[in-house]
Amino acid sequence: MRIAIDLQGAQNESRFRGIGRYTKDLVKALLRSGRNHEFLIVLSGLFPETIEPLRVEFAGLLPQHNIVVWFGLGPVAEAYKENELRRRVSEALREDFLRDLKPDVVLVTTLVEGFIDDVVTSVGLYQELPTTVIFYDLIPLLNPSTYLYVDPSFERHYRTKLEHLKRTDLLLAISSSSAQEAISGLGIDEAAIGVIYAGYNPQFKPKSEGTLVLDSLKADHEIGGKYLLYSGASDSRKNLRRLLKAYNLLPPELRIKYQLVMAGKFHQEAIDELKRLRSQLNLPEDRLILTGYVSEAQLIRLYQHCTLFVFASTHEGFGLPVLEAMACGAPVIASNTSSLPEIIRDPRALFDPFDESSIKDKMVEVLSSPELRSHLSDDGIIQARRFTWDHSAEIALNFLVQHVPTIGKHNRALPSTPQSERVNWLKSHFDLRSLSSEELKILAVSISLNHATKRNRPTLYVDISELVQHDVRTGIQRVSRSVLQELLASIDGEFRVVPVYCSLDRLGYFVADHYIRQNLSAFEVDHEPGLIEPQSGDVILGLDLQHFGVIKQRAYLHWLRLRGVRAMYVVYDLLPITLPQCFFPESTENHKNWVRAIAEFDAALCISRSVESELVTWMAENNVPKSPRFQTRWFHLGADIELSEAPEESSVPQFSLDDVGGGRTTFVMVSTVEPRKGHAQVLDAFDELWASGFDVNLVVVGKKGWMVDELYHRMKSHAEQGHRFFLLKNTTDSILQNLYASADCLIAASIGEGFGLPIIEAARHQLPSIARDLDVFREVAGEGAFYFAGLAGPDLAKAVREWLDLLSRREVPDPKLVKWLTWRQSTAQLVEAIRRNLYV
Amino acid sequence: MNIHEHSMRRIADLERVIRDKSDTIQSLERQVQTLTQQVGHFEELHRRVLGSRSWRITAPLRLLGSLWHAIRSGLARLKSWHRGKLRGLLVVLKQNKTARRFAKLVLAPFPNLKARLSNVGSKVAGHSGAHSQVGQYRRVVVELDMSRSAEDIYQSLAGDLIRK
Repeated sequence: MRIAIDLQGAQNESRFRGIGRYTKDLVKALLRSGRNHEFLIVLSGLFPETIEPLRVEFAGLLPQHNIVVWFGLGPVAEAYKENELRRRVSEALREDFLRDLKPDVVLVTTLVEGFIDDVVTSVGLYQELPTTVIFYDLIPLLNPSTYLYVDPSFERHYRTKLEHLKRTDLLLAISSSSAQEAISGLGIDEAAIGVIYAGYNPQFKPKSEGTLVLDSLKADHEIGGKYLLYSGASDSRKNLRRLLKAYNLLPPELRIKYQLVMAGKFHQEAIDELKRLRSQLNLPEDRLILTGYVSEAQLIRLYQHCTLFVFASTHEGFGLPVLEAMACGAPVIASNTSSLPEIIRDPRALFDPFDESSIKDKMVEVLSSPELRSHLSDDGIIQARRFTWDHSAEIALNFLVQHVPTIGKHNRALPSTPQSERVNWLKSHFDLRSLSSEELKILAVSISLNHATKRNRPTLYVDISELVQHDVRTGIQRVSRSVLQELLASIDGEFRVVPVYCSLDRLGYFVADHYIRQNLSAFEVDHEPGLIEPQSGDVILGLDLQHFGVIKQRAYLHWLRLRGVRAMYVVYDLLPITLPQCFFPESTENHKNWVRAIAEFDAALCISRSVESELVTWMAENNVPKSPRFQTRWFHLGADIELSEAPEESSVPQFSLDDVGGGRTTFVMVSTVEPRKGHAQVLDAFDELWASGFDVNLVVVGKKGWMVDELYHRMKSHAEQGHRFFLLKNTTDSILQNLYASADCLIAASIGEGFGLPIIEAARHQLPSIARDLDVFREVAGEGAFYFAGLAGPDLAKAVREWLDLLSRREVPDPKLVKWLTWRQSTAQLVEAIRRNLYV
Repeated sequence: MNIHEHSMRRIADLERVIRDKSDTIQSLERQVQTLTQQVGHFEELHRRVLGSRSWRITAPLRLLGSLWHAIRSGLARLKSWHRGKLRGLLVVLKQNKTARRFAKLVLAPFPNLKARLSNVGSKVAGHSGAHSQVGQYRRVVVELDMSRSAEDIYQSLAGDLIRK
C-alpha cells in the first residue's frame, strides 16, 4: 500500500500537546512496522518552521524524498473572515497535491483544527481520495455549552469539520469509547472504524532501586511528604473542582497525611478558581499543591513516588496520563466514564466522577488498604504494557490492509492533470478577483511547485559565482575549475551537474550559460537557461568561495531546503578567522558571517581533516547555531593540474629555467603574495644565503595580494631580481607545470593553510619540498617533506642549508612518500561526502 | 514592503480593530449607565406613586412591570454582544504584545468587561495555536523571479482578472 500521511497534527500548535505527541509516536511506529508498505509524509508549507525539525526527526525511518511538502495560499485560519477564499483555495490545492501522489489511502492526523491556525484539511471536497482520519473525540459536540455556544464562528468551523469527518472512508479511533462517539454522534458505520488505542513513551516505567528520591522536586513544589497526584490539563471536564471537594471530604487524618498535588500547566483562571475553592473549603494552603509545568522527567518521578494517582475527568478520548501513571507503577483510580475503564479495566479502581462522595470513598478505600494499592500498582504495570505504539501501528496497518481495498476510490491509474486544466478549474470554482497580484503570484508559484515534473535523477547545482563573475585565478578558483570539470566528466548518471551562479541584486541561482559556452564546450551540460528550479533531493554545492552570495541568498536557500533541497559548501580554510593579522578586518568579519551562514544549511565539506577540525572547534567555541542536519566532512584536493588549466593568456610572458636558471639549484615558491605566506621570511633567508655565498635561485610565482605593498616593492626592486631571484606575477598553469618539473625544491613557508596544494603538485612532479611544520602540511605530505620551524629568516636559511646538505648526500625526504590524488579521485571523495550527507 | 513595514501596518490594523471594539464597549457602558439612571428614575417614580392614594393599589404593579421590561431589554442587549464575536480579537491580543498593552490601557476603566474578555480569552487559549510565521518565505516567493512554469500559471490566472 502507498500511504500518504498528512502530518499537520505535528505541525501546528498541537505539536506541543497531546495530538502532536500522538501523531508523531504513532507515525513513527507505523514507519517501523510497515516495512512492506510505502509511506509518504506530507507536510504543509504553511508551517515552514516545523519542516526541518520533522525532516530530522523522521530521518532514518523513511527516505527524505518520501517527505513531501505542499504549498498553499496563507493565511487560512477560519476565525478570520478575510481568510475564507485563501482557505478554500488551499483546500483545493491540498487535495489536488494529494491526488497527484496517487496514494492508496491518505491518513489525516488531525482534522478539526484550522480555526485559529493555518491547518488546511478537507475530505472529498474536490477529489475522490480514499481517506482515513485519526479520530480523537467529540468532546466539543458533546459539551456544546462549554466549547461551541461561546462562539458561533467556532461552532460553524467545528460542525463543518464534522461533515468532512462523515465523508471519511475509514476512522482510526483512539479508544472504543471514542469509536462509540463517532457511531452515535456522527452516524458513522461501525465497520468503518478501527480502534487503535495509544501507547506511551518507554521512559515512563516503575521506579527502580537507583531511582533518585524526590527531595529537590519536593522542595521546589513544597511537597512535604506523601501525596495524591493528578496530572493533565485544567479544562472544566477535568473535574478538578470536584476532585478538590472530594479531597476535602477525606477523614482529617488522611488529609493530614496526604497532600493533593496537581501537576501541569493550568490556565490562570483555573488556578485562581482552585485557590478560591480551597479557601472556601477552609483547607490549609499547603494541602493543595499546583506545580505548574513540570518536565517529562519530573512528571515520571512524581508518578513513581505518589501514593495514589486520581483522575476524575468526566470525558476523555483516551486518557494518556492514566496510562503513564500505570506504567510508572502508581496505584491509579479514575472515572468510570468514556475511555478510562478501557485503560484501567479493574472495576475496583473506578468511581463516579459526578459524585464527590464516590470519589472520596474510592480514595479512602485505596488509601486505607496497602494490599489494594499494591494490587492496583502491580496490575497497572501489566495492563499498561498492553498499550504500545507498535501495537497501535500494527492494528492500524491491519485495519487499513483489510479495509482500504474495499473503499473503491483507487486513483493510481488516474492521469495527472495538465497544468492548464488545473488553472482553469481553479478559475471556474473560485472568484479569484479579490486576490492581490502578490497573492496570485504566490498561488502560481505554489501550483507550479506542487505539481513540478519530477526529474529521474537529482541535480547537483554547482555554485561557481566567483568564477563566473571575476575569475582572478586564485588557488580556490583553480580548485573550482578542476572539480567542476571532473564533475561534468566523471559523474556517471547519479547526478545531473549544472554550473550556476548567483548575484547580489536578486534572489535565486541562474544557470551559468555564458561560462558554459566559453569554458565548458567540451562537456555536455544538460540544462535550461535562466533561473533554476531545484527539487527535493537536489543539491546546491557551493564550490567557489563567495561570502556575500550565500548571505544574500540565505532566505532563498532556507526556502529551498523546506522542499528537500540540500545546500553544502566547500570550506577551504578558516584563515581569516584564525590568522586575523594577515587579513583586512572586514575579511575576517565576512568569513565569520559566511561560516555562520553555512552552518544553517546541510554540510561543510572541508578540504582537509585539519580544516574540519578547526571549523568544528571554532563553531563550538563561538556557539555558532547550526541546523540540526549540519554535518562536517573532509576530502583532499587533486594534483593533476592539467585539468585546472585556465585559458592561456597571450600577454603572459614565457618563463623557463632552462633559459635563466644558470644551472643553479632552484627553489620555487608558489602562492599569492600575502602576509601569511611567509614571503618576507623566505626573502630574508635567501638574502642571508646569497650573502654567505650560496649560489641558488629563488623563483616566486604569485600575484600581489593584500597588505604587502612594502614587501612587494622590495621583491620587485631586489638586487637579484632577474639574476638569481625571479618574481613571476603572471603565469599560466602550463608555465607552472614546467617550473615544477625543472626546479629542485618547493618552499612552503605559509604560517597557515587549508590544504597546501603546491606541496602535492610538486610531489606529483617528484619535486621535494621544504615545508613549515604545520598540522595540515603533515596531513598532506607526511614523511615526504622536510619540515622547518621558526618565523625568522635565519631559521629558514638554516633549514635550507640542512636540506642542501641532505641533497648532497641524496637523503632529502622522498616526494614519492607524499600520497596525492588526481582531481578525479579528489572529486570522487567530494561526491562521496555529498552522498553520505544526502542520506543522513 | 519589508517585514518591519508589514509589522507596523499589522499593528496599526490591530490598533484600529481594538479602537472599534473599545467604541462598542463605551457605547454599551453608556447604555448600561442610561439604564441604571432609568432604574433610579423609576424607583423615584415608584416611591411617588406609592405615595399616591389613587395609584397605591394598581400603579406599583404596572411600574414594576415596566421596570422589569427595561432591565430585561438592557440585559438582553448586553448578552446580544456575543462573546464569540470577540474571539478573533482575543486571539490577536494573545499573540501580539503591543496590541495587548494597548488593550489593557483601553480596558482599564472597564474592569467588569475586562474580566468578561479575560474569561472568553482563557477559553480561546484552550483551543488556540499561534499563527504560523511565514513572512520570511512569503517574501522570498514574492521577490524571486517566477519560473517559466509559474509564469505561465500566473499569466493564466491573472489574465482576465481585475486585480487589486
